[in-house]
Amino acid sequence: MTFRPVFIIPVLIFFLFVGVSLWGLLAITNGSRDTQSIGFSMEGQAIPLVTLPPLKATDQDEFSLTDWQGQAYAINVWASWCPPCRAEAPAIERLSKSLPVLGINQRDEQENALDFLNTFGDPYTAIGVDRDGRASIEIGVQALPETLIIGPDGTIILHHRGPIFANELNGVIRDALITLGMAP
Amino acid sequence: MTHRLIPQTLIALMVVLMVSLSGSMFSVNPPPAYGILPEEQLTNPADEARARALANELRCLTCQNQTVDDSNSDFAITIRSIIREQITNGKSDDDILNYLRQRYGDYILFSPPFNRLTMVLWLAPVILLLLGLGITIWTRPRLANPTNDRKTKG
Repeated sequence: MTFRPVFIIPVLIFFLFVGVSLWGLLAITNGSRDTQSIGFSMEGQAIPLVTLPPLKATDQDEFSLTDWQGQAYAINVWASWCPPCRAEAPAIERLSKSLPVLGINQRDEQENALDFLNTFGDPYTAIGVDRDGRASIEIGVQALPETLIIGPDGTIILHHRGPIFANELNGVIRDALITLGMAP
Repeated sequence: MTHRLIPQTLIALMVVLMVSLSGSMFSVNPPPAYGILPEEQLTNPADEARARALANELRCLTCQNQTVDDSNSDFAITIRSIIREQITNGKSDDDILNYLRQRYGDYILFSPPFNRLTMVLWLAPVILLLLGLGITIWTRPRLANPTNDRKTKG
């Protein structure tokens, strides 16, 4: 049988396919492709104005984002059962030096939430209780923790999924604060 | 005689390998473990069917490749309750999908819409099929009668 160059084509396609498949699998294994990231955020959209009951009896009757219209603020969605929320507590404390941080406490027990604040500090100007996670979905939250920075006109300047550490403070958070003219 | 079969065998083998590899790469076949609980369901069967159909189109974002219908994660349960609430409030399927896409992007849809970013994804199977057909048609007459060359020489 004579060799026909055309037979090379399926072989090439096959190896191309194997290559792409291996690349996909290896990228997940070595972490360069993040299967947890949905690659979509609420940035640029208007913050849905949710209203929640307050966590602390001493707070106002109602935690409402409408009260914050006209000024810049941050929202941090957290829970006492969420280990990365503990890890980011010092960074949220630092963020609260630049602008008011509102807490949304998701699917938590009041007692546990208050214990968390006693242990890891309470940087929040106000905290709303999102018992069933509906308000979190209303503002586009996927999983805890997530942090949003909202401009005076209600536009979401930054929507960060995941915990905040020094890298974020010096990077995306700083950029957002510069946009708002509030960089420390 | 047998050496003539080598290309066909090779191609058949490659097709089998590609199909099995694509199976492991791009899909999983989980057992049908429905996350939906009886108390979640709507009383109107038509509305409930719509809610189930919608939940089946949606990705549970906190799970590994499960639909919102399949999962019993908090995220999926909350999305299901939002779907049912919006259906009860008279929202259309498009309204509900748009509400979720506005918050989680196209990623929440299991079937990605055709656009600039997903063009390759949607067109690749067609292109590969046409390419395969083209190669088959191009080579087949020669494969079917490979002794032609020798006959003309002889």
